[in-house]
Amino acid sequence: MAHEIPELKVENLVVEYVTEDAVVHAVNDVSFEVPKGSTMGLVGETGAGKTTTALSIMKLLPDPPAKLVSGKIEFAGEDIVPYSEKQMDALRGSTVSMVFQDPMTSLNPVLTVGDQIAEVIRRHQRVSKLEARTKAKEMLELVGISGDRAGEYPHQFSGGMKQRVIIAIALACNPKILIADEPTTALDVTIQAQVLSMMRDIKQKFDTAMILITHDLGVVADICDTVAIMYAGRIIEYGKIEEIFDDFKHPYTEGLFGSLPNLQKRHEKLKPIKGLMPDPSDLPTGCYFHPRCKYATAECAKRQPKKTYLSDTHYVECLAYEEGTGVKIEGGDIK
Amino acid sequence: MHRYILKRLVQLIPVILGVVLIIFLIMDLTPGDPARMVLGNMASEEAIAAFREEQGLNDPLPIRYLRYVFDMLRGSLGTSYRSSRPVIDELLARFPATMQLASASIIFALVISVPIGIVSALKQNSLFDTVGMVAALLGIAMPAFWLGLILIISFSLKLDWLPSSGSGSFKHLILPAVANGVSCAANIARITRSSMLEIIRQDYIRTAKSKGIGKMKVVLKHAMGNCWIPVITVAGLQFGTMLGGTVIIENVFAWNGVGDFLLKSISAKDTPCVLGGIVMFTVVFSVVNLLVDIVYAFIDPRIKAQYQ
Repeated sequence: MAHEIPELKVENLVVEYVTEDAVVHAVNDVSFEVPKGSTMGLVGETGAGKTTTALSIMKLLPDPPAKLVSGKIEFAGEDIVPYSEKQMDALRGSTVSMVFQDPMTSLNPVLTVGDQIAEVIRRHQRVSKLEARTKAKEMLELVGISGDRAGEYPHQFSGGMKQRVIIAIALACNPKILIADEPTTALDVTIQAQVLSMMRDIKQKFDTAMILITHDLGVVADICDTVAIMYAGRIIEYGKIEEIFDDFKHPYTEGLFGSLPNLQKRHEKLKPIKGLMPDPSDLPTGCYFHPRCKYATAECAKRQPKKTYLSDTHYVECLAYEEGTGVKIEGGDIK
Repeated sequence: MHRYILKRLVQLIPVILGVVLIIFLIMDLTPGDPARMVLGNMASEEAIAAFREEQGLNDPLPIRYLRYVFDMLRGSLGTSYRSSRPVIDELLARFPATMQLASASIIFALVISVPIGIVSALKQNSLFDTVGMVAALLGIAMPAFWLGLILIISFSLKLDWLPSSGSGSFKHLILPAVANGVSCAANIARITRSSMLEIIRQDYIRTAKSKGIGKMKVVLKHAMGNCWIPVITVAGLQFGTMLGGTVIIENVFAWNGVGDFLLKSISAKDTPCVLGGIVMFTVVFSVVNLLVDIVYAFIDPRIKAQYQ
């Protein structure tokens, strides 16, 4: 197969929040592709720019203060960055949908859940009110809620059920691209598992290209095909799930895996990554991770690493893998 | 819901009894003998004594209070000292005029203030927002009687478009309703703006935007649906207050309403009319508040759930 046009392609995306006192560099030159039917995990700490990336794809950045400075966002080869609000509204909810982070606050408290699902159907499909309502009930059934509850209000549902309703809204018009922003973070573990398996089923059924934003590596392992590790607004390592989980290269990725509790050695202390994420309005020079990196050398503070491809699908942004930088990783867990 | 309404109506009883007691005490403490005020300085001692006896003014305060309460239970608010007509008739004759003025004022206020509040919030810190909010501040700061006089001077005396006083036609209603409604509108505009500012940053607004339904629908359906509670609260309070008679506006425009009547009764020390007026005001104000609370239930299903 020749190079197929991916469902979603983000190229050199740069997003800043411009305030009176500072410019916050939220997303710094991010590129990735998500083909049809595949899922990319976007992993990183709070403040790494994951949600900003997602909102850019929806073109729902709060403007002001957010500014999409440069880059391309292509839906099936079509760049949507120059699109007007009206053109975007035709895509939002039908071609591209988003499942938001907090189910408790993401539904309108004064409208019935049935109305909230039917609304998006009425917007994008030529159906009568009655048909939209029937379809809304079907969507509820699809996410495992009885269709009879369509007339109820969000406060009558539990957190997990609200998240299912939000997923039902996002999927109501069979979007080609689905962005799930920490869909399970606000839910307890058993409900998490249910929601995740439901999302996996639906993804397979509709062949949706999906971005799953999370900081839970377990969730990533469960449903993603590729993983992008984000740090301070950059994707510092990217690869297929096996490449990242079995053969991670970046010291930050190592830190992420190192900070997971080990079930076999329960007495072992957790190994946190020392320090905090840099202030995005005052990013360090060179590699953004060098102040926290245990392998950092003087060179790391001077030169910003480029993408180094370790295979067709796996790249890392770290000077240790670039030719002739003299930076070496020694004595760590990195193979 | 029915139980809730019933409960609220029952709660009204102690409120009314308390209000009557307080007014009784205040009227008793203020100087001036009602008999002397009603009959005039030329009246003989005998006539005054007879009046006092006839009206039961010689009885001690607790007796008078209890007598008033029992009369009230029988549906009587006493008779006016001045006109010798039942107080209830005097009030009911004037209430429709007050009701008309209050309704016109609140409708005027809502119609201009809610759109201003919404647009100010959506275009926060724009020229419209700044001008709108300065105007709102002026509207609150401006005394209603002064505005009334300005309106009379401009629209009645200078332009001769509208009558300066009296009631009856729609034309008579315009100036007092505007004079009365401006400060109310200013209040509502400010509250609409601030609650709108909060609501448009809510997650569910982002969800609504992500459906591609367009900005108008996001604002009018999703944001406004959540914005009504504070707006109705303020509007309800203002409406309740206005139903008690907007004393000064009624006076300025010679509007024959409850407020004007109450003012005249106070200066004549016509105790039964003052009491009756205030009892009516208490009841009306409480009922308006109850109505506002009931309206809440229709706006917000979460509140409705609490009433059950």
